[in-house]
Amino acid sequence: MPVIEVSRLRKQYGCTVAVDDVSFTVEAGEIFGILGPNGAGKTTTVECVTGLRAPDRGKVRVLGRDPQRDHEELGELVGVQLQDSQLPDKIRVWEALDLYASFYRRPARADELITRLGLAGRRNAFFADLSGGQKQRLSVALALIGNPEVAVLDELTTGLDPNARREVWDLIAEIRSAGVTILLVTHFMEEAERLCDRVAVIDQGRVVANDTPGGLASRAGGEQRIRFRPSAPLNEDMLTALPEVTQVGRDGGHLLVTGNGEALQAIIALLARQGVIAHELRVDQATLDDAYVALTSTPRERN
Amino acid sequence: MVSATAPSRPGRALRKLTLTETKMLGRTPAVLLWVVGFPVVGLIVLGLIPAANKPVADFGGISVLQTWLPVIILFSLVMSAVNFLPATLVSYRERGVLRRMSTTPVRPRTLLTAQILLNLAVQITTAVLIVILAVAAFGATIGQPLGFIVAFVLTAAALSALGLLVAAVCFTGKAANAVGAVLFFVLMFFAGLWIPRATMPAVLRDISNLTPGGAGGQAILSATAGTWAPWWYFAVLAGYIAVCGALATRLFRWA
Repeated sequence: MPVIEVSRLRKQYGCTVAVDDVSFTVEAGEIFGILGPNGAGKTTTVECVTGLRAPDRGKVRVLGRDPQRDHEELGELVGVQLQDSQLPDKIRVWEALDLYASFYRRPARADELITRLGLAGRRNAFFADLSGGQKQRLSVALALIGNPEVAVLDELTTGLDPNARREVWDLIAEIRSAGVTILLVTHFMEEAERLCDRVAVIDQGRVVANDTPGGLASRAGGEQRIRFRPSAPLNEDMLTALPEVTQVGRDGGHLLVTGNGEALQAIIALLARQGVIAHELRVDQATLDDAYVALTSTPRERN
Repeated sequence: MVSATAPSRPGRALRKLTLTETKMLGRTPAVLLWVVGFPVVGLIVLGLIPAANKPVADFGGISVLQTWLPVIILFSLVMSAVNFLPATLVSYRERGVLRRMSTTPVRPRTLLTAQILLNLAVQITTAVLIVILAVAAFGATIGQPLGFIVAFVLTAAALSALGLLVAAVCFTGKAANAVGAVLFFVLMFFAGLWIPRATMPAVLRDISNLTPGGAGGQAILSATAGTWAPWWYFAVLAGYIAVCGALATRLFRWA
């Protein structure tokens, strides 16, 4: 049984369709990413999953339960970190965790969480005095204080500096290894690539792709762009003749070769036969970034 | 990792919430200054004027200080119930504190309950402090103690219901503060803070009787003088509790 099951979800506010038709499933122990540009319908989807909003149409099940009907029961089982959710300025770190622990039947140990999240040195600090990264880590801690089976994390690292972001990523990987299923909403490719087992790309309220990060990237072409400076003049036609190569260009002393996944091997073999060495060799692979841009930036036909 | 046998969760959460909110209140000196400090200092300043402590025949034998007692208590009540209660609740909604709570097993109305309990506790403590000081140090009397308690509780409840209505209709902290400030001036005007009720023209006094400050103040004043105020003062207060309470319940949004 999937941990989260969303099928044909639709939600509109007035005449604005926030979520048009979204379906996906999240299996136990997975980190599942929801990716998409701002206003794509990610947050509304998450709000329907966490029971904060009632869907207009479609089915949402979390651990086999209905987030609307079984709100209280799911409250025990699902930890939620909401985008832009703050705490009162004058609450101390340990007080916030202690308070939220009192909401659950089987809370985690607040002290353990504080240490695990690297907040031990700030346990007496007021919320208002925390840095952005510390606030975010406290927010994650509050999502985990109830010992949840599922954690829903919305725009976890938005507004964090690169160091703080990496810290939070390590933390998420750690949480998953403790057996928690994670639904992660993000608009950072790198984040999805680093953490997610599978991602759904949402654009204009619809799922436009649902795959592993690697699978999505190879869909964007799986092509390689190779750039190097040959140690001796090289006849470009020899490169063009290789079946793996699609295009050859020149940039000053550098050659720019585009080809499929095996292009690099073929070029290196050719160079070796010719006794030429490739200096300043650089290979670029299509990434999730390319896939994302290809999937979301072109205006699509709506049917 | 797991703490077994815990008491019933709603009770435990409410206790913890009330305790945490109390601690945070202690870290917000402005609230204590306006709700407790100024009314108590005002009473002491008034009490130090010898003439204010003497019974006045024109006032039915009570002192000037005693006629001011309801106004001082109302000042504290209005500050607490109509200004700080809604400001806190609106900021909690604005910051997503209530929304976040609704993803936990505990409903955000528990936080509302904790806030109301805390405000009530502060209001009662301040009133007790003011009454003890007025009676022990400045010769005031509470002639009808039961009437005083009923009048105080109904006034506090009416103003709190009004405060909850403000929290329900204001969506930003700024709006709540502005509405609270206007209500403070209106309520305290009709309670007689700037023009004593006795010197108000009949029209103003009639309007005053229909405000929670005016009706509550009269009910409290009568009780200090040893009599129950006419029933319609209590009816006005009950009306505010019913109407504002029902509207606040209907209009309040958690997010």
